[in-house]
Amino acid sequence: MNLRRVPIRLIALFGLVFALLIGCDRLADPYSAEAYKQATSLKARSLALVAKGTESYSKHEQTADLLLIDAASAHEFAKGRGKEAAQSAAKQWAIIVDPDGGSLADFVNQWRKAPGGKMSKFFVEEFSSVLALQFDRIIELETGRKAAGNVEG
Amino acid sequence: MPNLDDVWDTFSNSVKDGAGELAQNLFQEWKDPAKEDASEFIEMTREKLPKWTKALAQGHLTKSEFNLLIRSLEGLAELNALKAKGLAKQKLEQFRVGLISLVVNAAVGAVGL
Repeated sequence: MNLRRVPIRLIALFGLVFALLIGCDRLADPYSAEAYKQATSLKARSLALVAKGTESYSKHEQTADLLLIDAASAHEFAKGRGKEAAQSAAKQWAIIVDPDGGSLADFVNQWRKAPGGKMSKFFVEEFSSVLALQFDRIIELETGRKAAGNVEG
Repeated sequence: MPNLDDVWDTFSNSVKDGAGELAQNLFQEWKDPAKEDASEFIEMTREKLPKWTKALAQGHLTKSEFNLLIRSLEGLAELNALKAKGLAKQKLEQFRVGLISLVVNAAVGAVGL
């Protein structure tokens, strides 16, 4: 078919439908290798710190402080990525850094206040298993972007 | 000169069929991990709560450690929900991009280019 024979109204209609779809704001933020690296690294470091929970807190205070700063940094990074990441990934990080959130910062807070500065072996083992899953949810949200083909480019 | 109604019908049917299939596949891809997370959480709660309660009674856990473990489950539930919400938006974005491609292909097909 000759393009010149296609009615101009039809081309305009297709163009309008296409423009409406293209004109929508991006609904999800793209995959970030940096966010993935932050989450996997912080997971490993957090679990290593929790494993030391049966030892005196004062011995690991510096490591704990540094880890919390890096987790806060990951939270700030997620907040600045875009609208969708601010409503999902950043809120996930907010739980990790909340001193009452049942996650990393809450653990450090309790460890600091624990009698003798030590947590029980039973607690450390049980808490580690839940904390690992918490970090997995952050990592899976990020890898989901890649699986959905939502990659910057 | 092609009939406008025929071309429009071909175009809209192609888009409707393709969009339905696309939505169904993407919804399934979103639903499965959300269901897995929920099942894992229920199973974990069923296993952990009696274990932790017993450990508290036996003195293997302090009250504040027990409370933190309970809060950790609440945190996990919230993280599951946020993951599901984020993945849903990713699937919607995937649907939007897929729909653009469908519209272009259907338009090209409908006018016989």
